Amino acid sequence: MAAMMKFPSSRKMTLIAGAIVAINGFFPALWILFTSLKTESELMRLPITIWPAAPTLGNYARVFTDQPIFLFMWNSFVVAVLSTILCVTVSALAAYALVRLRIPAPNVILSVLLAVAMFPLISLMVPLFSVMRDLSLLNTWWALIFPYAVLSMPVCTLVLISFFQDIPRDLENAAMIDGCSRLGALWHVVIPLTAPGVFTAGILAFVNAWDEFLLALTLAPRVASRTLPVGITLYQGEFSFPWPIISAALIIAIVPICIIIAIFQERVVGGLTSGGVKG
Amino acid sequence: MAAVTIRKVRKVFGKVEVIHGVDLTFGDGEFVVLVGPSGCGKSTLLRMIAGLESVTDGEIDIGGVVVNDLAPRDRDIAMVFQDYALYPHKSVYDNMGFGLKMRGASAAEIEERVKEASEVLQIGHLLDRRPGQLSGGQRQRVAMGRAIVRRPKVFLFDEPLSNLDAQLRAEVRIEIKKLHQRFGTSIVYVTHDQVEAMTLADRIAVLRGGHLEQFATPDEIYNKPASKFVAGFMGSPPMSFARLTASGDGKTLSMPSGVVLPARAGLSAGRAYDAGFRPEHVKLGADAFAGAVNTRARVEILEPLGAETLALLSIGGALLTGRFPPQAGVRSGDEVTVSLGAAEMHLFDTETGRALAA
Repeated sequence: MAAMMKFPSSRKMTLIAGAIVAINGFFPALWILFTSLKTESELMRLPITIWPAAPTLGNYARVFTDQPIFLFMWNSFVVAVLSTILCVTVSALAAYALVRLRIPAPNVILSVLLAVAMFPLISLMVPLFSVMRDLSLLNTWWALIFPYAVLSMPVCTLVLISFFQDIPRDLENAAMIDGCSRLGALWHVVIPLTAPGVFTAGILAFVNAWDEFLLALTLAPRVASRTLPVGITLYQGEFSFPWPIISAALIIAIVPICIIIAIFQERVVGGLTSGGVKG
Repeated sequence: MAAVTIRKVRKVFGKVEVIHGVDLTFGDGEFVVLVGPSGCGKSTLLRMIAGLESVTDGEIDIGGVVVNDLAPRDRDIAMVFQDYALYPHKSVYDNMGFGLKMRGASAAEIEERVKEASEVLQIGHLLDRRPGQLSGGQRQRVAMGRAIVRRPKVFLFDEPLSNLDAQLRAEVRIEIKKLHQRFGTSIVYVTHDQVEAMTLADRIAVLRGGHLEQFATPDEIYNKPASKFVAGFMGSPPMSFARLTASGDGKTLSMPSGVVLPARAGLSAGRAYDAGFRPEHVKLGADAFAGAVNTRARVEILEPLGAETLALLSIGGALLTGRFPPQAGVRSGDEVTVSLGAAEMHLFDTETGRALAA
């Protein structure tokens, strides 16, 4: 009798799936890191090497001397932080209203909100450009802050809704009896209890804004208002692609994201609501 | 402290009317219990007093001020919730002081009041803990502490003991009564447990299907129930009923088995009435008390409680509950003689369920 085909155990499957995800996510990042430490001649040499033969930090020095990367970073930081604050604030209010207030057809409203996220970004470019031009906001931070905030709102609202739904209504009722308005109850009770959700939404909005290229290129193309993704394109010449320098700039660009996630990941811990109500 | 008046209050959710024009007035410092089965509207009524539900029609007046349009925070009430509703991210101290903080009290005043309340409730050693680190009984005490530090006009309790085990429930019940005696603040207390209602209340409002069945002292509720529903709901075990028919002259009532009981008032000849007997008015043996009517009964079920034994008796087609002595030597299936308290019998209209005037 033929031996029965043996399927790998679920633990093995999990490990294999995890390895695929990790390699898929980390390999390009590692490749960029190694590239940033190579000289241009080593990069072009055949056969291709993975480890830099003579690691150099010269590319990183060039990142700071060739272009005003601190300015790009500052622009990106301001745009990302302000759009995140705006996005999370509005999303929190929207999510709270959809979860708690007796408004007609909340599911329809949520569906419309999510439908907005389905629009291809490219289809919004011309109208957005026109609006920003008419408002004289082109090449300002606000030209990016408003669209970034709005574009991240659907997903942030969805994330916050799932967290708000888990908060027992009586906690807010208790806060309102204790002296809070409805917004006060949201601020003093709901937001602190859904901190993991708020930080998750905030990180999503921040990363979206930090990484965005197409709108930044269209609405804030001037050097002084360029954000990092657009600014990094300045490292390429008309006929040259200095990949090691561009790689170094990319590594520098992801450092703030890594720092922010490292800071907030501890806050993104559930279980805060345990014990407040019977359970 | 304040008197509370509820005038013709109605509540409609969509097309469903859950409170049908309830009128209730109770005085300063009174302990009022709203009691009734699930879905009777007692919690909805309490939440309307708190401002957590809008009032469809009618008026709610606290301390002479109509509060229909006031936010919960402006009604000067404090509420203890069924599920405690403690803020999980705050310490016990901050939970208790939050209401005062929101009202702009100084840190010193908050500390003084929290300390005082925590001493009264014996939770002083828990002030630094989070709600998640407390037992159910401790959480309930903290919830009460949060209410009393505010010194509101009215305390509202929404089934505060329903999540506690029987022993703890009895302990906390006594503490609530002590708190009322100590502070003298008006209390509106919702429960579906008629023992809680009877033991705590100055007056009990019995609700059924959004209607007020009776609003009276525990003594009146027990001894003069306004309806068959109240009679059957209040009391442990509750009143049991038999359908009797009035004689031709309306002066006696008879069971299908032929047992005849004297009637107190003139009854309509030949008409059926529901007669209610409290278990203590159905006793083992003949002539167990003055004016008793003796009859034979079959013991269906015995429930020994230690101090007494409850007996479910079949008497001429009716099932009545009696209180028997603990060592009566009776077994299920026995035929025994019992005394029915004809003078203590309650009569109810079979159609309306309302009690007949004594």
